Amino acid sequence: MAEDVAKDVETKKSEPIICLGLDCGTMHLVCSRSDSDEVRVTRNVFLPVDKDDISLTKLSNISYVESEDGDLFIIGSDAFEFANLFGQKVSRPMEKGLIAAGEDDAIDVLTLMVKDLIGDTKNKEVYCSYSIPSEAIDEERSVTFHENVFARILGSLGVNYTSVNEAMAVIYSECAKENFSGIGISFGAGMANVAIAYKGIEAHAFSTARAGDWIDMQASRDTKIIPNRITNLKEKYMKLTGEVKIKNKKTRRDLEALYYHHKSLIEYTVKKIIKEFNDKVDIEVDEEIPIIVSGGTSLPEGFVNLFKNVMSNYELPFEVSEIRRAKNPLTAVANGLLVRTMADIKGR
Amino acid sequence: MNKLRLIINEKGRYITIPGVAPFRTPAELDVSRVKLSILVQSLHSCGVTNYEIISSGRSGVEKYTQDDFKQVEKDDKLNERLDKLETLLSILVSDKSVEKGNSSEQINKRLSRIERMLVKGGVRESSRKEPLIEELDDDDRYIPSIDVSDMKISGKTTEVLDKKDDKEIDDAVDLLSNLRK
Repeated sequence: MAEDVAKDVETKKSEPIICLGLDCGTMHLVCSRSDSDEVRVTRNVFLPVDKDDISLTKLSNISYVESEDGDLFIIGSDAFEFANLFGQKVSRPMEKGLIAAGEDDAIDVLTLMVKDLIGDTKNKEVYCSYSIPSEAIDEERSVTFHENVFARILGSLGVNYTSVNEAMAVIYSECAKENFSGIGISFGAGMANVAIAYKGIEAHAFSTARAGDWIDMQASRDTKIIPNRITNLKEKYMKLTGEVKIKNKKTRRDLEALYYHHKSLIEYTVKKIIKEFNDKVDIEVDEEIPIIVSGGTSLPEGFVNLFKNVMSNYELPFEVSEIRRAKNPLTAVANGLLVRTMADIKGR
Repeated sequence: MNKLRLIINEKGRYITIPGVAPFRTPAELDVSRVKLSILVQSLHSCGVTNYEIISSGRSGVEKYTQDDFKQVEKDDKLNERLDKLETLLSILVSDKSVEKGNSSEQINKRLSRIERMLVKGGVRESSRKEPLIEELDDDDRYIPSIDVSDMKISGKTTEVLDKKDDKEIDDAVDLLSNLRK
């Protein structure tokens, strides 16, 4: 048995073809590889710093990108921590689910982060599905630039690529037992992506520009705290179950603001799902379908229950078998993209 | 080959440079692939006077501003004038459509022709030795290449988020590929 496993692992390692699933999220880049059981992540933020302001000894334990021109960018989680420490705002290669406008260094930094994340591909034929959002129904911004820039980044790294809708990736990873029928929702940082799928076919997909960043921005306005810190607070303490064990009154107020905006986001998304389903879905869905809730914004405890409570207040144009959270809301998209890449390669 | 970076801090200008996607300032971009004289001319024609061109390579890093290129601009203008004059003379010498003679009608015809040419600038495209706009492949025309060869990444930038269930992935792949057949 152990020999078989070892042989299997050995075979996988020597495979000339590698399949990848790359989730290009606003907050995180996540990669799932066919030749490894590890799903790796990097935080999609960077902080330009002046070389004169920071000594090289301070950089010994942190991740950074350095150019020959002398530009220095602290990247990933370290950027976030440094920015919080100094009360600065991190630069984001992406905003609202798309490549950020006006961040001149974004694409270069992003390329290096993607290269590092996907890891060693030397002498391998690499195929990758990368996530793209649907066009937003509430904001005039095309995904074309984003789609093409990521294609160019992957192309420059020698990777064969296909773009795949982010919410469909949730369906691929979470709805195999339902024959890939369901509603996949990816509540990311920049966008909420929704796909309505029936037997593996995308019946309709859309996105809204309201997601985690929107919550942070609203709460930031209410509390007069910079969005970075709100994000930090949310990730550390946020529970949507109603119980707050924090003694500090100010923090309790901040979390209260976050709660209201989580609820508001869910209500907004549910209304849009109902409207889009009524207006745009032509196929007859004659069976109960599941709703899968995924994405980093769905991580706080109690999010799915809050979603169920909100949903129960509306009359739906389809029958729901269950509302469930993805097995891992942070890796569902990357794993779904990997499923799609492997299925494409298998079907060649 | 030296790498050239163009920096324009002045806000609110819309810049077009052959071989580079149009952009708005302030901006910083790689212009290594653009011919220097074309770059300087383009910036001049867009009315940009406050810019820096950083050249970096094995010989080190050097910074240039508009003042460093004034001679280039002057030379280009002079070359342009010489081009026009050369073209004009070649047209006059080779032109046989107007008979030479001393009648006042013929002299008037020649004079009016010369005047028309002078008013219009009289430059024929075919007389130029090299095209003003550098011809590029379609793919390269508007899309700047991604070049991170001068950048390096240090430290541990990624971490393991989760371990995936390979069997579950394989089952989903089988189902999906069957469904898509």
